[in-house]
Amino acid sequence: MASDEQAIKLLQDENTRLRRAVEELSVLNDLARAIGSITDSNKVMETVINRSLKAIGAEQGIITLVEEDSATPMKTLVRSITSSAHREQFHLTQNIVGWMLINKKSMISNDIRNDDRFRGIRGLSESIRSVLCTPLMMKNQVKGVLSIFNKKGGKQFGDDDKRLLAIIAAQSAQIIENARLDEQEREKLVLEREIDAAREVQTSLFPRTLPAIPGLDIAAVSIPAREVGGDYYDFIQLEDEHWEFVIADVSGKGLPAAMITTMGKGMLYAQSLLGPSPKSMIINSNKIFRKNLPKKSFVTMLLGVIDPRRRLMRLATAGHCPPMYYSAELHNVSPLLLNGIALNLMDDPSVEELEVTLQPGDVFTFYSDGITEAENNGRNQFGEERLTATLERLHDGTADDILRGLLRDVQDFVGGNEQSDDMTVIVLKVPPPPGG
Amino acid sequence: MSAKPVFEFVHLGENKFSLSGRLDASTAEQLEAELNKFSSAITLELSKLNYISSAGLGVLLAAQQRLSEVSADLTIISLQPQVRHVFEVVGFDKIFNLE
Repeated sequence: MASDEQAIKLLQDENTRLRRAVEELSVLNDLARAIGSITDSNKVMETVINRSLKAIGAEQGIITLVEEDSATPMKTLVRSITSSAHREQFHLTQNIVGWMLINKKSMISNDIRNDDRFRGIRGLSESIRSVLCTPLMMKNQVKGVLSIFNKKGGKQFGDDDKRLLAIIAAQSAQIIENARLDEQEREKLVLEREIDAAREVQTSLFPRTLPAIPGLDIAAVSIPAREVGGDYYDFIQLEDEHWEFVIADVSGKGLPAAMITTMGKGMLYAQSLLGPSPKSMIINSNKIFRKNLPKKSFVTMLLGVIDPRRRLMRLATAGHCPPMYYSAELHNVSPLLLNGIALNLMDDPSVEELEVTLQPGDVFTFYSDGITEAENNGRNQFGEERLTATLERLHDGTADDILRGLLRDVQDFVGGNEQSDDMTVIVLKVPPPPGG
Repeated sequence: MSAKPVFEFVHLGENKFSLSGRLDASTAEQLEAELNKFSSAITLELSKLNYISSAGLGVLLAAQQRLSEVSADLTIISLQPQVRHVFEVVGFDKIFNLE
């Protein structure tokens, strides 16, 4: 008789085991079908939570993702199906994630309030009694935690529940991770497209060829940073064989900066019809920007007007980097300091205009802050002193030699560091007399 | 792994805050979010700020313009020489209370 009872017991156990296996399989089958073609990681997580709650019979659930690249390793993304519970659960899940990162295994607490592992949690809501949580593992790393709260009917979470949640988590981790990676990839693509568009707009604004101005050797280049800044340069022909040139830097990056540059270019070409005064062009540009630009934008700009016949150049600045002047007479490089503040900062700024005579052998170098603020690995900047030394060394060459030499010096200085801002340089050289 | 954050915004008490590290395009948004919480006069202490880019200047400008609309001042104190130089070249020394 005893053996009959044993046989029945064995059969019953086997039956239970089989029923559980079928249940588990059907839960997984359900989950796989539900997740199916969802690519939105939020929706995937919501589905995983919902299926877990249904399979185990719990009231609330959360998936907390561990942010890998964050400055604070504990920073988490919280997703819950009950939004009202966010705040209280945040501190609780912070604790759970901390525990998981160390222990990497499932955990049950059927009495949170008297559990040492959760002592001292702030603002724990009365409504949360018990928790069952399991890590979302990928390649032996905790990528997140799936937690469910309060088994329905006042029951306690048991080992069967723990096993089932662990199986669900094992199935879900890869899918959630894939959805996240997919999303990151898509976001990157959108960003790349915007960067490309900004670069296209910016590049279209630069002159395609440099003008031939009698008595001047000219070289110019603008090298956009990966995420395009707002550098701009141009040469505009004026009446009476005068030439205007401009170098400018719009605050900000990307498309917004490129749009402001586009507007600035149109403005300058319109004004070029009015007469050859860099000072009044700056004053007028400021007036137009004040009426049209958002208040947090500003533009630094340096304008020059060249009169080749009289060998004169007039300069005015709006808070742009001071040009470097190599004087053939003095044999040294010094900054040309001019008063004038960036455009769009105030209504009626005072603007100074400087007139210089172009002497054979003189070199004028105009640049954007991407040159002087180029950084090396030690976070040191190229700076005005290195720029001065470079230009003193190179003044003998052609404008092109000087420009290339300067870019090489900057490149050598920064080493492998990524260029973080646009770099623009214009070199104007007054050629020395032949044989001189 | 560098433990020190690139940029930090620290409350020093009253309406005074310290900026430290680098204020560039990648950290400017963080400062903007912090400054947007205020609608009364504030003082920014810059003795630990090593670098400011045009994006950083833009955020300070926006905050100054916003505060001036409610007649509140944005005061900036203790600038390092290289940061002061950037302020001066661009002309920010003319529109900010620099101390």
